[in-house]
Amino acid sequence: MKNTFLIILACFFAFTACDNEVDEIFEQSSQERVNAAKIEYKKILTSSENGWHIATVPGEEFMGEFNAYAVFKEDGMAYVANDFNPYNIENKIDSSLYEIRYTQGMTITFTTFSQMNYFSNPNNSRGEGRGGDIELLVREISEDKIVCEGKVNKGTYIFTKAKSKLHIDALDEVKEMEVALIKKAYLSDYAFPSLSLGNGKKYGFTYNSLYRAVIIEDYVETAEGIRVEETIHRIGFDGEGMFFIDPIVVGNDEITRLNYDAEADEFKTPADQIEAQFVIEPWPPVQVKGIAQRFSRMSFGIVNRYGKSVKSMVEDYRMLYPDFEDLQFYNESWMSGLTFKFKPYYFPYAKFKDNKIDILADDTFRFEFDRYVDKSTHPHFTLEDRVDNPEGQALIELFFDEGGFKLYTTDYKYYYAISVNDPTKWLIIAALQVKS
Amino acid sequence: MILAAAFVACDDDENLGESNIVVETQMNEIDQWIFNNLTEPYNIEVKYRWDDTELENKKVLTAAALDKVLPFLKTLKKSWIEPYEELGGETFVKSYIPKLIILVGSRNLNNDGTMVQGTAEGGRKVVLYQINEFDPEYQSSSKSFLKRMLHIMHHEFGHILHQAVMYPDEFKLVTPGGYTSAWMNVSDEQALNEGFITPYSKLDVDENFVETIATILTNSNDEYEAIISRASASGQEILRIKEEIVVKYFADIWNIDMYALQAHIYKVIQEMDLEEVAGE
Repeated sequence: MKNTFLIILACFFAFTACDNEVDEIFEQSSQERVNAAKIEYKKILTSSENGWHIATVPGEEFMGEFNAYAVFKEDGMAYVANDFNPYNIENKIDSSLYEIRYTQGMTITFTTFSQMNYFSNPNNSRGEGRGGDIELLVREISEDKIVCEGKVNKGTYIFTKAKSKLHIDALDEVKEMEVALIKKAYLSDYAFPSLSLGNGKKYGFTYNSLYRAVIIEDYVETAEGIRVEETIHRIGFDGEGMFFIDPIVVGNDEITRLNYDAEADEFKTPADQIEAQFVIEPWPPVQVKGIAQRFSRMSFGIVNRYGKSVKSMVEDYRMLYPDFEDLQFYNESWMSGLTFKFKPYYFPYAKFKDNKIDILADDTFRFEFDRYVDKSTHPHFTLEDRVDNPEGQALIELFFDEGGFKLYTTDYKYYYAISVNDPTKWLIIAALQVKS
Repeated sequence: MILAAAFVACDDDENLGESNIVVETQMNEIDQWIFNNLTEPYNIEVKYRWDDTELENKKVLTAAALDKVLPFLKTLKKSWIEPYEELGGETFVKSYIPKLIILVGSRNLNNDGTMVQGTAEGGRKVVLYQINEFDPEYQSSSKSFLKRMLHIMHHEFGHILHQAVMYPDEFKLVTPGGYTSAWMNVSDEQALNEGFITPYSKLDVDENFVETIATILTNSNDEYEAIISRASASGQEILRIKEEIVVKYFADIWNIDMYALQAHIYKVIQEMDLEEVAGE
């Protein structure tokens, strides 16, 4: 009896499984749904009166957030502007065709070349691109917000309705924040930029505009000497200042942004976060070895020096070095930097600390550096002074190494600099006549 | 039962619903020009909008710029299609010309630093790269660029022709042992000395044949002679044999005087004002 019951039950399930009536989950076919979605997506894209702001984080590691704006038209044209290219001095509107497609999901695709292709252009990145995508897979879409992911490189693209039609003005406003940071960070090639906390703790702080990321360096004193611990934080800019995509963690606190005060030219944390400020100082509070490491490191930490507001940077230097008559920015294929020309009658007092050099003997003199150095893309530094040549300007090159740095002059004298207790004080010894 | 099924299938009362095809793109000025000048007369489709399904998956590439498409296509038509049409006739061109041209804006760079200028598949599809660098304002560099692109087009067109009517077997016997898959390690000079017009022509007999065609048609007669003269004496002798076979093939099979075509193409390129053609 029991077996009979089981057989009947099995038959019941078998017939249920064989039921070939398939419930319709959707009223339309998949193609009809795709077509409807294409129409709907296009309607949303074209409906934003002021176009869209596209917060763009390319798919390459360490790339921060860049800004793009786009207006999508019914005729398939998109008018775009962005701050992707760090070499662009001026923001401009560009045009491209766009389409809503279905490939691995619904995509917004910029189908012809424009500024939007900057990160996916092999021509400017040794064939590899920089994490950009041409096809953006739509992950979320509403009237006010579209979230996309790059189809190949998986960057993120968040569309929000633009507040104004004046996209270039909006980009310029954000660019001002970046330029303000670059100006300060650019000084990092000449002095020591740091994130200074309210409790006195300081971190090295270097900005890289190609990646839109900062390197935070913690100088840790150990028994073996100074150990530099680096972390890379992706950032972005908005109308208020800069924000950290990857926050800086200090104990139990997080620093997520630094607001810019244009009047005071300061980047500071907002009131709801621990006190921190981006400051420039002559030298880092560590020994020579740490400094040498810092200046010798040529890979990631170099601030992009082309394109943006070179003139205004020079103006900043003029303020920093009031005793110099002239400052000239120079930029050659392999190096760049500043030439310092001293005002007449300042000889032999170069712009060292307190404008003072103590001549101890014919070939030995002593001084304290103020903010003075001029850096090339190589780990050596040049400055002009009149120590050797009152009429002209002898060129002195400084080569950093682990023990400190050496100085060479155009008349082939060789100097060596050693630190005297305090890393802001140096003793320069003319040690050798290399060539007569 | 089969008859019953057939009648059901033929029921014309069935409502097929709306078409699944959505025309996504509107015809713009470029589309219209392509349609009027390439699609309608020659049945050529040009894809200039980004379509990664037509491209190598692993390569980083970018789309063609809108303002480059028409200038490039106009000059290509003048220097490639029209000379062939003039010497080979309308039917010849319409029958054999590649039917799909893909335009890519950026370079196609390889990991070893080399660059692919164009690729082709099955005598039907040709992909041309780096057209965003074509700038008619710079006549000299753009003409060099155009010549590189023409080399690809002549090369691919050559494949279509020999796939339609095979070249004589004697071509295969000229340098039967000279072929290698490692052609990229062969220098221009080495190839010439061995009787191959380019290093790539060492890949196989078909490539050898079409590279000979492309080199003859991309250069003036003087330029071609200068290339031949760089080869060793034995190399020159072999290259002349190959040239003779190719020229005879064009004359016998396609009724085209190859030297006349060479001269005509060269004249068109020399006399062409790229800016003027681009603006037409």
